[in-house]
Amino acid sequence: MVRQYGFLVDMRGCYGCKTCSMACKSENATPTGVLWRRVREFTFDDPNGMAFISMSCNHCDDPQCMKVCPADTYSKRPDGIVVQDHDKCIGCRMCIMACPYNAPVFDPVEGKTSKCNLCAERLDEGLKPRCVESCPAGVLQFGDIDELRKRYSADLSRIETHYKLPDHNISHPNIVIIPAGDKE
Amino acid sequence: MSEYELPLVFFTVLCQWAVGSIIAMTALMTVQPIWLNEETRFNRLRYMALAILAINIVGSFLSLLHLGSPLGAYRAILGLGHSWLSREVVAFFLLNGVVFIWAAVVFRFNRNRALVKSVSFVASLAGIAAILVSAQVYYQMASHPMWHTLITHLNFIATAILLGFVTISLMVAVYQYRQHAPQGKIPGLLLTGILLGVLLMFWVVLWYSHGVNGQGQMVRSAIAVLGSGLMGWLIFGGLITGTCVATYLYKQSSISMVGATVLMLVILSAAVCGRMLFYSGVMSQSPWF
Ligand code: SF4
Ligand code: SF4
Repeated sequence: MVRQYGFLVDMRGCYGCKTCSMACKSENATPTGVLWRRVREFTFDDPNGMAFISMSCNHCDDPQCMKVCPADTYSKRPDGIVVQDHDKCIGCRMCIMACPYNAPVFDPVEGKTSKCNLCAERLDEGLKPRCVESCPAGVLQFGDIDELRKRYSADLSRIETHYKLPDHNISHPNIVIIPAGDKE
Repeated sequence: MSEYELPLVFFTVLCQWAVGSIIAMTALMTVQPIWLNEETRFNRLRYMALAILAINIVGSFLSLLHLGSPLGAYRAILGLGHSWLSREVVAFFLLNGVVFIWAAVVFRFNRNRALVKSVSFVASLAGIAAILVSAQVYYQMASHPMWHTLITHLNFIATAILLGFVTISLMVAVYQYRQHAPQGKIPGLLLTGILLGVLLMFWVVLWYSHGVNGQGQMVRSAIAVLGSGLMGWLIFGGLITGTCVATYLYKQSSISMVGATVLMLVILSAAVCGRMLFYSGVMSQSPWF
């Protein structure tokens, strides 16, 4: 039994095609304007360059969304996936304010918020998350976060400073990021 | 997302105004018992109590407008075990009950002065507790340095004290203006309350300014807050006008209804601007990543 699932993002191969984002959207049939996975772009001028981080929910060890939600919509499964009971949501948007990674998204038409559930139903059927399966460059990997961390122990603090990511100590996200430009 | 979160602005400001007014009224009853003993004065307090109850109820209802699915509002207490928003919902539900009982006691059972005073005291404490629970909602968000600080609690309490003490001081001054009788002084405790509110609010503004020396999101929040025209109105309408009201009432001790209404509106609008800054300082940074 996996203690905690998580994602690995290998920035070295990502060229910003956003296939993962679109695959997620079509798999989950999210409404207009609601993207559970987004590809953030970073530009540098010394030297000129671009980098991309594809990110959705990080199924944190200390999920801030779960803490603040007044309707108790979030729960953490035994395999670490943070899932939302969408019917219970009252659209207060507290989870959006609290999540350091902007993972939950509000749909003004429905008046509710939703977020990535790591394709829990697909996992339960033994399939991979749709984003992981769809990435043409193999940038996204998924699995037991302990295994992923063993395979590549990138220093999150260094990446946070470089790409102005939120401090991982706030929610302890389950993500491994291999920065662009890192040697094998 | 709306960066000003107006329903939350009006909910918090109106309810804090109501609580501050109850505190200031309790202070007035304590330092000038004549307000409890003299019929015409007590009648002022009775109608003021009803107005305060109305402000608290309207403010509480406005919070519902913040919800995307207001019909599910009853589910907002399911997270009581971990969510400060759930606790805020319960706190304001209870506060409305307490304020209702308080207003009923002031309005109906005016012969029992001791009861009025003790219920006012209890309502004041309940109000302060509810305000602190509100502040915890924002304090709980560890990823926003502008909210995750005790300055949030100070900000909310400062708003209550400033608005409440200005309201009751102006009420006394208008009463004295209408009586054409030899005028007593406005109680020093009320004027001190106004100045305390100004001072605490000034502390909050200074803390925002200090934020530009911070790091990351705090710097961006501080720049957004300080660079906004709303800050100018908070300083002029809240800090400067508040100080002028206290000084004027110290010297003059009466004011016309029109004058009092204008001053009240200026200070109230400054408090609204201050609260808009509180929300926009964080929400204008969205997405934070
Ligand atoms: S990334 Fe955000 S939404 Fe996902 S578990 Fe962490 S705090 Fe919650
Ligand atoms: S928007 Fe919905 S899921 Fe998010 S905190 Fe509010 S009730 Fe919970």
